[in-house]
Amino acid sequence: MMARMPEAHADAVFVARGLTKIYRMGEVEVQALRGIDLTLNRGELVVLLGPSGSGKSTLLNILGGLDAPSGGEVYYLDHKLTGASEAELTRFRREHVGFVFQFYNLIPSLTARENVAAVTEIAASPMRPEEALRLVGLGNRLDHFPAQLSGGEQQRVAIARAVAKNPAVLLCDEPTGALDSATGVVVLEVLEKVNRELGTLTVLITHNVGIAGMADRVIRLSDGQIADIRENAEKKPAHELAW
Amino acid sequence: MNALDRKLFRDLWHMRGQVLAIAAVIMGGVATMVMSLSTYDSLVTTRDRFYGEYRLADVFASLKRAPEPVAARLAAVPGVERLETRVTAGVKLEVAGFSDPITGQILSLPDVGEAQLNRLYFKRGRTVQPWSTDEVVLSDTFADVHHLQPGDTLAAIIRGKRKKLTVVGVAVSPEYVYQIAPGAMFPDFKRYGVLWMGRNALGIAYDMKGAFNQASLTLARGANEQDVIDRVDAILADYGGTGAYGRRDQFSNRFLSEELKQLRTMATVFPAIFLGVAAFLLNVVLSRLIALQREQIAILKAFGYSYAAIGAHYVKMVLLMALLGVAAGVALGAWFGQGLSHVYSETTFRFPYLDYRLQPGTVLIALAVSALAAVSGTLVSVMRAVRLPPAEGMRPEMPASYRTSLVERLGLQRWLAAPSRMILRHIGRRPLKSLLTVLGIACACGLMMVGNYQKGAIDFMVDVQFRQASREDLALAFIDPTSGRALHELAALPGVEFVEGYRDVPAILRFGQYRHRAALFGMVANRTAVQSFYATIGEFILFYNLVATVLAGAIGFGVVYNSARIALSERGRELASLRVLGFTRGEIAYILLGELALLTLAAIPVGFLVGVGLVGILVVAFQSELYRLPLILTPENYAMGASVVIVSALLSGQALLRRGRRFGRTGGPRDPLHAAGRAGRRRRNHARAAYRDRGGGRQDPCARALPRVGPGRRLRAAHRPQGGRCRRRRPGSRSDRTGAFGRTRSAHPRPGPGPGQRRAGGARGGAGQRARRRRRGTAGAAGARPRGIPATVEFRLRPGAGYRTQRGNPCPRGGAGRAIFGPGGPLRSGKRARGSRQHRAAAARRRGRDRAGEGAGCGARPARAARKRRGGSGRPAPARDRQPREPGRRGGSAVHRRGEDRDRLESDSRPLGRRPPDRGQGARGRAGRLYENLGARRRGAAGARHRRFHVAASGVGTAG
Repeated sequence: MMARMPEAHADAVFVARGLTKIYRMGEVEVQALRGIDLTLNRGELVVLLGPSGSGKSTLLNILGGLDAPSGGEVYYLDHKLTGASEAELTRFRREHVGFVFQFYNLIPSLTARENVAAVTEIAASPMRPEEALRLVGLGNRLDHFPAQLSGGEQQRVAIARAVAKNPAVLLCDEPTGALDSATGVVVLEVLEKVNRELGTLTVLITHNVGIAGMADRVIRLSDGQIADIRENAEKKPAHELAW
Repeated sequence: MNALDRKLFRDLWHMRGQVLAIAAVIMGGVATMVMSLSTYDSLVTTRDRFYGEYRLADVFASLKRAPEPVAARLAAVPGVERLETRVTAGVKLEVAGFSDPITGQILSLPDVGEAQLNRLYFKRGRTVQPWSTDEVVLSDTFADVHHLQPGDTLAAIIRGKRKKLTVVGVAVSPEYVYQIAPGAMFPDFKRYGVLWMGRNALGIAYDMKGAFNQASLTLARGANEQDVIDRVDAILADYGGTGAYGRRDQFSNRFLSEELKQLRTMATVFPAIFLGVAAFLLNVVLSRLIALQREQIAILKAFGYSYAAIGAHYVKMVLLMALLGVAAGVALGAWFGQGLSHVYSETTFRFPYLDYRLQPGTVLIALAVSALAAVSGTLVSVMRAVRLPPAEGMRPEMPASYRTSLVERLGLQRWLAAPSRMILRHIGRRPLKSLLTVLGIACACGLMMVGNYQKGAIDFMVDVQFRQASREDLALAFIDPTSGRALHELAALPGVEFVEGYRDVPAILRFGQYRHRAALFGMVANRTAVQSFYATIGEFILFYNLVATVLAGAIGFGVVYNSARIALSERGRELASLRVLGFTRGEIAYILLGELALLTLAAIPVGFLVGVGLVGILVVAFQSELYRLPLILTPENYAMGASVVIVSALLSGQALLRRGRRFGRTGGPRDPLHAAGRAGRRRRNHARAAYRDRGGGRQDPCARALPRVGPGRRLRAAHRPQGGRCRRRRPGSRSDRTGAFGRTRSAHPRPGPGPGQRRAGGARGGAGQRARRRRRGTAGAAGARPRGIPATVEFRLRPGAGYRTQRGNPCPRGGAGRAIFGPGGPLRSGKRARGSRQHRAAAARRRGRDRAGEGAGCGARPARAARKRRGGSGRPAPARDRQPREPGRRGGSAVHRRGEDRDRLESDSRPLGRRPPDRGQGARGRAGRLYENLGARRRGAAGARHRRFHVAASGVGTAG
């Protein structure tokens, strides 16, 4: 998996060049990505913005090693992800990536603590599950099952689960998509805190422009391509966001 | 225990119904296997030990008569290790108090020293004294059935002379483990006995002094049995030798060997069927589970769980289910095994001891075979889980692809309504699965037929043997061949109608290198023989029937229940959507159960074929030279096979309907495989705690539930039902279901979902949130309920209102009823679903009485009054605001209306203010069902002022 990364910034964590992805759904071909060039740096909070079907989730899945591109190359530090075997991708995810999904995707039969423990058990140098849950403000809900938690709480458990293994990258796919704005802000605050305190590269997908204010960089996707990349001169704290 | 293992156990617990059904099938297989193998092991061990310790001879030779010195020549045959001669003869016995003729075999015991071969195990008493003339040892079976003890006497006809014999001992011989009269089909301990007597006495009686007519010998190590037999035959040819034979052909041993062979067959055929079915069931259940857990699998992979770990997780799950089945199967098999060993030792084989022993090897075999079947059955599903790309797992599953069914393509679609088409298409979508389901159910039918077939076959055999072949009333055997003149003498006896003579001789059939000792011939047959025969095998048949019923039931229920649960799981959402669209409960049940019924019906003829096939296999596998059961299946067999299938299907259908009741109430049933389990329980407890915190369910439930009479006044105790005593009822208990008030749940309004009950599509949030909403009158689903949809109200009548309780008892201190209120007043009221049996009966009772409290009239007036008070016109609300009328309301069945009522009540009565918690906590006595209503308080109990009904207290109000 070792490979030379194309020339990029020294802090670059992800470098993607000419990424394409084509899905075949029955007899129909759907082009989800049409040549993406992208560099993501250490410690950044990046917001991927775009309407439904613009390829945000596909890009995130490819960066996270959940999916393979149809064309182009992706590097994580000095590892080439494209062409890596399934076992290598599994190891990559296990060691370096944390995911947060729109619908939390907690395991309903495990408590909050156990959901986090499911990940820390297989990680190299994780936090304690309790510590991770305290980080997201759920120190008092350790033994609750997902069904006993509100949506916001469930999402915070999902974040705790993602950060508990101290990943280098945190990939969040519409983490506030299923939440009302007040709860959404709480979740974003947690993400902001994680990004700030742990220095984790955080990539946040949303189609909610209001959230873009908290990012270092906002990458706008449209129809499988990058429409523009904007750097926020002044980041807004999450608690000031509203939509 | 790591997190994945915890998930494993919780998943198993959540789908415990299915796990148990599968375990039951595995249990069936393992039980038969353990039963057969352990009984086999026990019999083999016991046999070998008994034969060894009591020195059963290797070769037996019978002859007419040879002088003792010939024995020396026989002993000198190369390969003979030890030889013993004896005298043996047929004998007729007489036992006091038993009038039937008894035949027996009498054998000599050496007068000097102990027998070297075929030694006796004495259960009671002792051996005969040397040189004694009238002492005998009896076989234990004969002694037991005639209750003969040492010291008792019996008479024997020896060479035409009656001789009185004294029993000195009761013994078991390795030669007569299976004790059966020559030519008989089954043992008859009452009419056939074996005796042992001193050699000298017997020799004198049979004119065998200094001679012998039977020799037994053991072989030296490495000796060729056939060679020895040939030489012995050559020596004995001059002495009327009938041909020596090895232990293999020894009568008792041969029966024993055949029985052991059958046990081995049973240990393979039946478990193979069961484990095959179990593998199929596991496959179905696991495929479904994996489909449901797609996202979980994907998320685990996303977080770096290796594919092997995911695969191992599901394999472990399967193995645990199998383990459960194996554990139960080993226990049941050991129990059956002990039962079978007992039946064997009581009815057929006589060992001095029968140590039932369950070998660890048997358990290991059962474990290994079950695990193998389970894993191989689920390998495809597990591989699907392993191979599921994580990104794909995150996306929702593609909608299942259906196509028109064969019946429709044949142009018959216009005869089929949409629900029927759905059934056919669903069956056709996965033809293999449907086929395997049919086969699985058919196996239950087949197994039941196998279990019951023996009786029919044996009836047939008895009929052929005793009624068609052996038609004589009396059989007479001569010790030596006799002249044909005897026949005439017999024919001349008074009462004899017909006489037939026969002669039998032993023969050896040879074909090439094969040789075969032909079976001896002879009959003892009469009615009593048939009876005794049935008495002997009755226990056997009963035992096999029991085993077959248990096992066939397990397999039938396992397959049908699992198919049904999977169908509910797969289609719950779809069916709930149909319910929302206005399909009745009956129609939904038809779609769900119609498929099951169709498959079950299809399985019955297939089951008959399977049954015939299985019986055929067993007939071939069990047939021996000694006897062969004919392939006879009676209508009874078919009926039993079909009934086990139908009963299993009905039970499963009922279990399914109970689950399906959630339809329409929650907008979709909880997925059976996603049952909330402990999580749900905790949530409910949490909600209950919150409810209690709010002040619910604390004081006297009666006081809480009793309605107010005017502002601030509670009902006097005298007005409380049953003197104010409040009966506690557990929700869901029988009394709750039937109700102190009415027969069915539907007959009285049930509150909306209680605290902690899940409500899909309802408001999210914790109990606190729900409680707040409820206080605002917008709780849960009711919060989303559009204004104008009626609420249900319960009311109470003062004594003298001419009212009866729903059980029809006059209610001396008031009564209760129910009205459904629309925005403009009551739309309908009544205590029971109209048209129901209870309703008609109650109506009949009321006829001719003051009709004050009846039916629709009941709520009309207060309603009009209420409307007027609210400033309305007093006319009923416009039709569009009224209760939505579903098609079934007009002319549907009572059942339908009942169900419909309940749905409405369940979803509409939510804002009725405080009420007892849904489960466990609050008492819901008669009074407990009257719920205080916010509206009632607000309007000061409108019904209380209603003159005609004298409503002493009422919770009245509309939701609007």
